[in-house]
Amino acid sequence: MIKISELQKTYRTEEVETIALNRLSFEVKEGEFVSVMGPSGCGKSTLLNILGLLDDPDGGSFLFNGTEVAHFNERKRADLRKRNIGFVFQSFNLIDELTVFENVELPLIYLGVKGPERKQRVEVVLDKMQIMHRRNHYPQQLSGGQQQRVAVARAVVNNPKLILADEPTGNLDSSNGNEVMQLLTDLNEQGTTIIMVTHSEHDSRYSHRIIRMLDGQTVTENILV
Amino acid sequence: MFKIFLLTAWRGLMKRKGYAALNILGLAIGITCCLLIFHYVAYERSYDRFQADAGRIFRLRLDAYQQGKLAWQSATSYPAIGPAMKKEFPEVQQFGRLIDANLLLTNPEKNIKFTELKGYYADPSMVGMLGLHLIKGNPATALDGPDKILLSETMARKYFGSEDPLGKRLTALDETLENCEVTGVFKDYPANSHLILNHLVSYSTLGKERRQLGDSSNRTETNWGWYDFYVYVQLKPGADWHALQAKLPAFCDRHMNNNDWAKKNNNRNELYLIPLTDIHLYSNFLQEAEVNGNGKAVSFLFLIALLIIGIAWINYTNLATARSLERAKEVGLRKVLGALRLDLILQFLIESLLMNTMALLLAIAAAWLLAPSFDTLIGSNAGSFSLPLAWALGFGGIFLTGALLSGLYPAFVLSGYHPITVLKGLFKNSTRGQFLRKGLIIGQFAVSVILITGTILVYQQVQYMRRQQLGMNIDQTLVIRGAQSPQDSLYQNIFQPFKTDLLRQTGIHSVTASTNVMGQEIYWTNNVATLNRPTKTDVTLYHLAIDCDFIPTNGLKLVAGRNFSRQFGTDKNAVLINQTAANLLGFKNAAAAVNSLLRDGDTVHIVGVLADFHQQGLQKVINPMIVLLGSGARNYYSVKLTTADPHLTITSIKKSWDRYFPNDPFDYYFLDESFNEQYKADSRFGEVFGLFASLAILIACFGLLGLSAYNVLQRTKEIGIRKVLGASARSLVFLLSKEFLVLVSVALLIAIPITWWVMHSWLQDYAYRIAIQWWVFALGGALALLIALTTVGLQALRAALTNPIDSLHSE
Repeated sequence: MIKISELQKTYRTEEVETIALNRLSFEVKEGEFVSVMGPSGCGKSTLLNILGLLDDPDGGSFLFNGTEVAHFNERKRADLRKRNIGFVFQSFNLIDELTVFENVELPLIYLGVKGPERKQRVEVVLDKMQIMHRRNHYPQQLSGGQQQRVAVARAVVNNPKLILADEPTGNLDSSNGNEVMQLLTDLNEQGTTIIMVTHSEHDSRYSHRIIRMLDGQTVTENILV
Repeated sequence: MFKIFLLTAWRGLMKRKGYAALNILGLAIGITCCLLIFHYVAYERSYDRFQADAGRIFRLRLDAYQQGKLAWQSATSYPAIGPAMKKEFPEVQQFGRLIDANLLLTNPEKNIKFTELKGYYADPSMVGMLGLHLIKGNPATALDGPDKILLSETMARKYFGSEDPLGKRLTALDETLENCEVTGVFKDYPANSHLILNHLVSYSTLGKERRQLGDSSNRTETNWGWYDFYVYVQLKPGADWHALQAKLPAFCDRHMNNNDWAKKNNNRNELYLIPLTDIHLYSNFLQEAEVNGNGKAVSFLFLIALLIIGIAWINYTNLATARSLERAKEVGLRKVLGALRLDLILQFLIESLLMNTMALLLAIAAAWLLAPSFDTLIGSNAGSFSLPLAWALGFGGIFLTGALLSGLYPAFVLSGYHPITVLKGLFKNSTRGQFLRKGLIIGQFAVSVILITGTILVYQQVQYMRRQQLGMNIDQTLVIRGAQSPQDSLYQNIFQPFKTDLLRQTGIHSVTASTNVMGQEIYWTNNVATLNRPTKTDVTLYHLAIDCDFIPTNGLKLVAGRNFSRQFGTDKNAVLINQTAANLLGFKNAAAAVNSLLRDGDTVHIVGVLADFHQQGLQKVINPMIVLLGSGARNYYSVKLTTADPHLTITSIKKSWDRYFPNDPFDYYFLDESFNEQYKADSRFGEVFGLFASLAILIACFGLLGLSAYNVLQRTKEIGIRKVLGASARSLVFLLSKEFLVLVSVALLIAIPITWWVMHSWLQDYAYRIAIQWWVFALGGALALLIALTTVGLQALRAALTNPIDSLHSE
């Protein structure tokens, strides 16, 4: 599903040049659950941004379902992103002015899905995440675990092929964290590919494979299953 | 998608109520000002447009040059112009003339009488050219032939009650006794016309009157020197009026400028066409039918309307971009979820439109409520709030453009954020937009300073005019409109006993009669030449006829010679002139003029020279005047009072009046009040200017308040750290206010030259004016600074006094 080779990304300021990705190559097959680990500054987040089509690589190749997307323009990237990729963030990133229902509905709106269908799809996913009873609440009225469940619901509502999760349990206690990991595992079992950046060895054990990074390069790959 | 944009926008407003209120209130005030001014300007520009053919109707005005110099510019011209233009220019479809018909009208059957000052002798064509709507009578024949009169509906009711006035007769006491048949009644003439029109007497009545007075010259048709006529021409459809205007110099040469007299004296006449619809705002010459509007002031106000609404929109832009930090996360997130930049731009524009629409609704309600008070303030009778369709559409266009433009910049800034940066929390409020924001604050305050200093200068000028020595004393002077009914031959036999009767009453110091009183424009002009002098000078002098008591009653001073006196039998041919006239006639000094002879129709001799006095307000120059002792001085009686109870004295004067002039109405007013009326327009201008200046400042302050509050919020942590490290509250207030004060100071530097230039050109309209002094700018600037400092400083002080633990905690 994803094949990156020789991927490069360098950040430059006036005085400093930081190599974030240094000829990084790996592949993720459809249906895989992969964890990316490594110390701060090793390039995990840069990798996730590029995989999520939020950022451009400086060099190398990025094949998404066999299509080279490394140099797509903004419009094409946005289109590919909204149809294929869901995001889950450490800090949930829900919109405060929108209710649970409306937050989850948002990706479908940008996808141009008609009203009645949207309603139905949102309800299905809220039900699945067991937060239907909170549909009319605002994010600030929910616990952290509930917020992250809403964020996961939002990430999956458009049936993405790939979910990118950036420290999804980082802001949660262990019990809520486990719940979220279970949700992701369930989704993966239903066929969604998941790439998760994490610092947590515990969380990484939910995945099939761990890619460990250092200084913008892959150092090891552990296959767990 | 639209629905959810609207919903998000609405919830956003509800969440930040203070911010929303500040923004909406500022916008609403700006839009209200704009709507009220549009309402007024639309009314001012609507004058005479009710006439269907207005675009083809023009009035002629006259510029008269004497000795090669412009002597006067007049709204009136000569009666012979109309017929000649009709004859010589095929594009002229018809012409029409008006001349004042101030009459004492009486319905002899009912003994109802009034002095009517708002009517004209009019050619038959004027019925159509003025767009009169006849309710009774035949428009084609209503003014065809002498002794016919058309009345407005109100006039008809006044004289005939519910009776049908058609065919009935009214007598008019003028120079001769007229007996006019009512041939029609017209619907009351619209108030938005350059004329107030209560009655029209057929033009040929005037010719008949002249003939009865022994004038067989047919002057009312053929005269090229009697410039008391409003002459109108209507062009044929499709005719080019500019082309006709281009032919008028040759026309003037043919009829007026090529005769020997004109050539010898280097005299010249020029005629200009003024479109009917331009008269109210752009015609301000001698002998205007009514006090016209001021096109310059109207345009100026229009500009102020745009500036004020502009300031309000600038606030919106400023506050919206300043809040970008707050919105960045949302933007990033929406982008991650698939929003295109265009979607986001659309979203922010909808927010802007929502806020503007709420402000608009508030503003419409406010304009509707305030329109009557605004009309009173500005002296307009535009009536309840409404906008003509074209104006409403124009306003709609401006509103949409402004609302979209003010939302567009923040929309572009916000939608441009990179999602990773903002979601990772790496985002700092960028310097992008700060330059523009600062520029906009400078612009707002520059406009405010211009308006503040402008207000001070207008106020100064009005005060200057009010306080200036006029060269006469107009206090405690009651003016009574002179009796018209007594025939000339009998007049003195009635007036003198009346005067003696008044002088016997307590509280009356003196009584005098004259053709004009102070504050009035004098229309009576004549060419006067020096006699028995080496070089003969021929100039136009303004004529005033008085009796012997006029000079002391009005407190005028003589600089040479003496006043008229009953002791000198020869004073019948004596005249006084003012200093300006003495200079113009070429006398070395005032004393040299005394005992000189002048040709003013008859030969007259100068017995005294008056110190210059302001016959009119200080907007006008002092005209060269000649003062005659005349029996024609019967238009106004001035009564100098010494009483503590003017009401009692007036009651007793009225008793005498009714005894001596039972056929004339008793109309009176106080001279100082009517003289000061001349400054009313300027005072109003000052008040309106002041009002909008205050509102502009208020709106600008809303913006500053929002920005400084936001600035403080952003620097909460910094303030906390500084306090922990020992910073005093004063130093923190300075730190937080410094930037805004610098901006306001820059605004000052920009505003000063602009204000100077604008106000300097405004003052040019005044013959006597103040000099613009530096302290006005200092005061205006200090006020703006003080207001800005208070607005920003209070916010800063609040932040500076907060416990640093709280502010550090909140991070």
